[in-house]
Amino acid sequence: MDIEKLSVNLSSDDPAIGLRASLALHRLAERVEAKHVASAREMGWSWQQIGDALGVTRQSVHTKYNKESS
Amino acid sequence: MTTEPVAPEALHAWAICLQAGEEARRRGDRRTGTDHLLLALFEDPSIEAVLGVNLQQARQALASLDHEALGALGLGSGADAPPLPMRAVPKKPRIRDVAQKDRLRMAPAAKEVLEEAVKPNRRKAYVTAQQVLAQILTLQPPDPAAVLLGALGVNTSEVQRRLDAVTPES
Repeated sequence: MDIEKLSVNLSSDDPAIGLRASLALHRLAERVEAKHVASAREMGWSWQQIGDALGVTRQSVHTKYNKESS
Repeated sequence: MTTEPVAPEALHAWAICLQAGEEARRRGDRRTGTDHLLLALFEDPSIEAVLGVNLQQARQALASLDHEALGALGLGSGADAPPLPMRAVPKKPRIRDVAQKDRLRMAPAAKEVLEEAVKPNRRKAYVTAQQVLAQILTLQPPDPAAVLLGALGVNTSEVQRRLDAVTPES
């Protein structure tokens, strides 16, 4: 990554960057979730436990992730 | 089944949608944007030459844009997680492939790009990567595909010229 560019952006109030950052956060959150759901499964967590941790039903985590973790 | 004259390099419009959806899923997106549509066009090997960049470079540029944006929020490059696995997309998807429960919705701009690209074709199921690319080139930042092309340093008028050279007026 270009360090110089980054430091310029740090001080900017540019909505183009701010809005992109918001989307990037969403994407990052999804990837973090996927990574940890996978490791929870590997550690033997049930879908129920993962659902509880995420505040959703076990069905919804299962439909979202079962294909990837198997 | 498809004996009608369809250009051999034409892609199935649904296959583009699904492939773009997988590109979106890989990044952790909940929507298929124009940027993902652009990535899906690399399914046609000629797109690499037209754009002068390859799929890996395009994906990398998107990741860099994200890093840059997260950096603006004060999140360092340590804030990252691996991309999600992509699923294989059939070349000629059937309705059951498209009507998956967990399919991602298309961003309105992405939908419009595809609709406009398909418009001149008699068979709306097929569209060439060039037709879709031509529509993407009309987009302006802050549209994500336009931002991506900018980040890749792609000269859009040059690409347009190359497209005009390979696609005969129909």
